[in-house]
Amino acid sequence: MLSLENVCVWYGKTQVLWDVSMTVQSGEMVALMGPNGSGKSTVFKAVTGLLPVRSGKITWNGRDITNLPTHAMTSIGISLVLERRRLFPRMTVRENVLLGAYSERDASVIKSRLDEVEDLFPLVKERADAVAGSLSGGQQQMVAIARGLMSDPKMLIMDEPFLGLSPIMVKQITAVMVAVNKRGKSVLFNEQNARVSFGNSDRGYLLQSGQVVLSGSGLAMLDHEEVKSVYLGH
Amino acid sequence: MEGPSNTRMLSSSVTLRVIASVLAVGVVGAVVLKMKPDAYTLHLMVMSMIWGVFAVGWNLASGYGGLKTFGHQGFFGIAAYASALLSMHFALSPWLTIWIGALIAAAVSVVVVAPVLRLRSTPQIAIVTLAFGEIARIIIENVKSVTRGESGLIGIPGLPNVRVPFVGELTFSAADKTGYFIVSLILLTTASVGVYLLMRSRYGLGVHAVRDAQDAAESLGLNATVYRVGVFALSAFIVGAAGGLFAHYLLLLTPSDAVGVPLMVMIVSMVIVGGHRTIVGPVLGAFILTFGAEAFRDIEEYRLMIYGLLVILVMRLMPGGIARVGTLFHWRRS
Amino acid sequence: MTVSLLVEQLVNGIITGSMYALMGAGLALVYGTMRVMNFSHGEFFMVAAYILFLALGALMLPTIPAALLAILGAACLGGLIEKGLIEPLMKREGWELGTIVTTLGLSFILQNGVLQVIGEEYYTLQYFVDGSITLFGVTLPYQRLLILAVAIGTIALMELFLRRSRAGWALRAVSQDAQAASVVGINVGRVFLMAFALSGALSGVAAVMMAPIQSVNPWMGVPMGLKAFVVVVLGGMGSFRGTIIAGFIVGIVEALGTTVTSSEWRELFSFGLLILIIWFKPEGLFGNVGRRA
Repeated sequence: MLSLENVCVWYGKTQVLWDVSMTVQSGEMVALMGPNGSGKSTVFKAVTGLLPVRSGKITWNGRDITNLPTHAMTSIGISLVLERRRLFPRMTVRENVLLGAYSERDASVIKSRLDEVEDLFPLVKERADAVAGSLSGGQQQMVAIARGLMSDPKMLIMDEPFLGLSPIMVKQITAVMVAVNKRGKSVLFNEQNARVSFGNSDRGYLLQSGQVVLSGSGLAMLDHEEVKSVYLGH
Repeated sequence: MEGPSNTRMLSSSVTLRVIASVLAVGVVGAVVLKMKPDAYTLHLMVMSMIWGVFAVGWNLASGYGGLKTFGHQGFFGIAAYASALLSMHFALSPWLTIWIGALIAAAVSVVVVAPVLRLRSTPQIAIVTLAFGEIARIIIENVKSVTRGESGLIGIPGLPNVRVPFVGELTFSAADKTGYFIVSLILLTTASVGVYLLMRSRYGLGVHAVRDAQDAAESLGLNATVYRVGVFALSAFIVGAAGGLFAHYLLLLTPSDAVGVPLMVMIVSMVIVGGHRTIVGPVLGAFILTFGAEAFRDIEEYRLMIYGLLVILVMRLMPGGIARVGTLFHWRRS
Repeated sequence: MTVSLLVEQLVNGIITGSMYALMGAGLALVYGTMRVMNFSHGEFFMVAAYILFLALGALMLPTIPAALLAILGAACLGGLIEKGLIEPLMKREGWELGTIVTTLGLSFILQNGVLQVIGEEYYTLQYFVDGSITLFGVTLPYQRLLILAVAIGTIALMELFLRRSRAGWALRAVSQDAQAASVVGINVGRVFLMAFALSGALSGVAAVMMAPIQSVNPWMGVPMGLKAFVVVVLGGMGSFRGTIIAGFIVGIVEALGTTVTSSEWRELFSFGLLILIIWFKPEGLFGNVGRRA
């Protein structure tokens, strides 16, 4: 599936990722955890071509996709949900969701995907004609995920999906992520909170200052001394 | 911020630099005059220096101030016409009216900059200032009873001769341009040194801060409006002084030469080619383009085309301009 | 001043305004998607008028193929400018000033290039349709009515394109959030190219319609380009509908203004209107405050 080998990324003259290696297997839910500025989002941006990879290699089902342009991602089966939802603010919910299927030209395929997504998110149907910018943060996150699913990806990457959401919304979004994962799609996401990160995921990685310092199964990560002392405050 | 001793060391090195540069300019100026250049070469030098002053003024607002204005030809024209008309109709000495003209330009600039300050995007600022420049042109062109429109304002007095103690009589005439050469050299040096010192002063630090991050600067208690209006008005004043000298040197003003968009394109080209946001860049650009155009005198009608081409090439190949080519190599080495 | 003169000027203002709307719409399309202000926009208009003139004269093509050739030529010019000059600058720091200065330089190259190659003669073209109609004491040549009809048709077509077509959706998506657009699979670079080509084509339509009632010369694009800037800023920097409305407003204000004064002051009214409105509403008449570049 997805694998990163010794990926290095620079912002101008500063290196922000140092030899990051990780994998996501088919059907896995993987969490990337780390403090602010540790490079969690940068990893996602490097994978999806939003930031150039200076050295190292990214492969997807054996194919080298290092520095593949962002717009080619949906057609190979990777879909990214950007940080802060990033809906098209002056378009309707329906238009936003349909744009998620931009790479698909077959109208009947798009229709069946829309049905499926509306099934998972009743909101998409109920508020179809609402302007996206008028929705609440949690609703926008739902629509953003719906839009991400419209390309029928094999893997959904979610950048800070819980940012600025109420605890109730965090629970709802988590449930959605689990449901998406149950449908056979890999889910890769990042989050600062250890319990939210590792509680629901198969495996996890801990990132510090642009380096992977720890990895293991979700339960093992929660149990690890360092995670406990630093991130869970025990 | 540097400590007090550090600041003193910095300022003393700045003073040294300024004194050395002014001396060097004086020596070069004297050598040029000693070589007795023909009247035409001297004319080109005077024009280069007038454009140089304009370019320094534009660079102050657009480069250091961060207000990308495309309407400064309006201030040049307003000052030029004001100075010419005042000296013609009120029998005032051009030595005085040049400064009055520059002050009028600065005053108008304060009014013009008011709506511009509320705009945040560069294209909006460019268009609104361009609109102002065009308004100035349309008015000057069409108030024919005063300006004679495109037929040109004639009968502008030249600068009167002055007696300089220990040196002798400084003459200002078509035959002997020595006086104009010296005055434009002094004006150009004063403008450049003035901008240099200003940008190194406390006020200059404020200007930098406001340009780079207005919100942050405001949270530090800097009044962004004061800095931006100040820089804009000073730059209009410098450009206006160039306009006044232009009027009393050429003794003929037409709207297309003194306020037109082509004039603006020429000055912008000079600054971009020489080096945007540098001290010597605008001056360098003014000399290169003025003398360069002369080298292609046979194809004078291609002048604006060549300027356009030059700007595109410089933007593409060395965006910092000629003045930064040196530093480019320096960075690469380190 | 008689009422019929006033009405006539009003109608003329609407007709000229429809052309400003087309010019502005093209400029707004590019600004909206790329945040690039194309200072050579007026030159699309000039080049297209020359293509039309040459196609009708030298190639002796019938009107409609000649007009299509002119529009296509302007679209190609737009694409070339984007690929050759704009795209390489977009990835750099300081691209905002870089693109302004580059397109400003280009406009002088095009004006003077045409001047050198074709000369400074003012050429006139025949009206596409002859005759006129008198309504309520106002005489309107069919050519002017045709201008209005074509402008409205083009605007309607653009509106349909933006709302209904896949490419139109891509354009709107990129203008609202280019990064999000690339994430859903839109090739943003190609949308930029399309925006520039469309912008050229819209100016081409304006040029084809205006060439017969103006004269074809190297400087004919300057006032149209300047008016497009005014219209885009008034219309709210990139809003399609706002730009169209602003185009009509500027046309009407100019026409009424010149009725009270004379045609030399025409430009003063549009620039004055711009500064007046910006003074009170910096975001333009229909601007979105949140739509900062």
